[in-house]
Amino acid sequence: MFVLLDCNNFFVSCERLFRPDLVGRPTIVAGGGGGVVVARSEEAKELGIPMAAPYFQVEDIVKKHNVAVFSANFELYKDISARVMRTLEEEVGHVYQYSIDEAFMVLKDAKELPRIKALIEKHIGIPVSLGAGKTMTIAKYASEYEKRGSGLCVLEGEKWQKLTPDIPLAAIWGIGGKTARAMREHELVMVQDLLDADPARIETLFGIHGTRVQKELGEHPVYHPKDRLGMQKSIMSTRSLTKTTIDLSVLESALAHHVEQVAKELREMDAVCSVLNVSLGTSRFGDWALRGGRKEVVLIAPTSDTRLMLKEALHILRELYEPDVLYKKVGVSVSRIVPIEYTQHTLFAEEETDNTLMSTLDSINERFGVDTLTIGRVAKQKEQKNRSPRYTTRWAEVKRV
Amino acid sequence: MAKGFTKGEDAHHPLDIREYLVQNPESTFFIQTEEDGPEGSDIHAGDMVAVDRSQTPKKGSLVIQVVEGEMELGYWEEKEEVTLWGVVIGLVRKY
Repeated sequence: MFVLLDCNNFFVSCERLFRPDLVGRPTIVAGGGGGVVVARSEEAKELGIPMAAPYFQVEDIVKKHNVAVFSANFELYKDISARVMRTLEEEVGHVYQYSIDEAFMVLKDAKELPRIKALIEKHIGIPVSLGAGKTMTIAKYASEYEKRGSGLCVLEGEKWQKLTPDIPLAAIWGIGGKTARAMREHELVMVQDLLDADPARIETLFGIHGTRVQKELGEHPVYHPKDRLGMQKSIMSTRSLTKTTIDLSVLESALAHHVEQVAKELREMDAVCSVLNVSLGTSRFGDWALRGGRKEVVLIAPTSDTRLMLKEALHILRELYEPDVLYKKVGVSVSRIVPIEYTQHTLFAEEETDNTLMSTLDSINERFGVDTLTIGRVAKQKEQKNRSPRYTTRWAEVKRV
Repeated sequence: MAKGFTKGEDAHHPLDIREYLVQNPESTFFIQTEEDGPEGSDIHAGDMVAVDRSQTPKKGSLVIQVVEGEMELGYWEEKEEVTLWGVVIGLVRKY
């Protein structure tokens, strides 16, 4: 059976590990460039603070209800995450880490689950939920199902089948808002509706992705955590320049346009990518035919954020670029595309100061006009004044008692 | 591992105090004391204590415990108002 371990409100739990006084008090973590809410304690959820809300929008609630607010402390979260994953690995053998706070395991039966949960909670001090089922999709749902209760949930056979008439398809992993709406148009609203539908019809309507979800919900495993969960293989945007150029800044601006296109398309699909490939082509005339090339990079966290993607793309471009070569074409393609539901940490990938990027953007915009680069979600870095100490990775910041 | 480098007695690296102090790195956390520890503990303000959450304390074991939401050093005794955070397994002191 497939088992998903999910650390509950992970970033908040990491903060509370060293601040037990915050247990019971509404707590949120704000991250990302503009300070959006990236983690909420149960109490904060009950106050109606939405995930991914810009901080200024929830400031009133924060003041009124004395909500504890932290700036994301990724160094701490990564260390605690690594401790959870290693402990788990020692216990069950192989673990497939899915995100900073989620890991899949393949286990023979559910007997071990209570012990695993107790072990992580004692050794690391982070509350976790475990969900199990015959497929990854069901395991994912199971991990959410009992989160506020026992944190242990096995949905198999009859137990799962009893629930399917009451579970909306929109609550299923891998069914994004867009897919759910399309399904609703065909009167597929609940999981049971999809299970009852003719597989041929599902394939016609929703393609291979629909077929896979249908099988997974019918307890026939399609996915295995060792395989990547692919949708469309790649998206690309490329075009020849109107004039050949030797000017890096012209290439940069063209590349920026392509990155924006690709990122927009990803966002429209409710998807993220984790591989980015930049190609640079030379003029077919002259001696440049063998120059240029392509290079790809694996992104730290899957993303559809123009800013993060552009940073990587520009970096590659500068590696490929040679002065005095006449270039004709530049483009970008992305691959390893997965639905955003499969990776919940894309909003706030890595918090780091990327001033070089911002100044590059600014200079491109200055040179080519303000609208050369239009970028979603660009915001100046908020000062990390509410960041907690990096308790586990810096001697100067260890917990004091 | 590089070729010709075998694990075992030939493989050595400078002594690492964590190897000596810590048995379970995943569940061990370092915490610094701001004041002297409880009477008889011989823990001074400024000591760095290693705390292993995986250990189970005996009555009277030196522990980090949570009392009224605050972490503090103490001798373990099961009481309703006290929860265990971890067991002190050693300390590092700088003079």
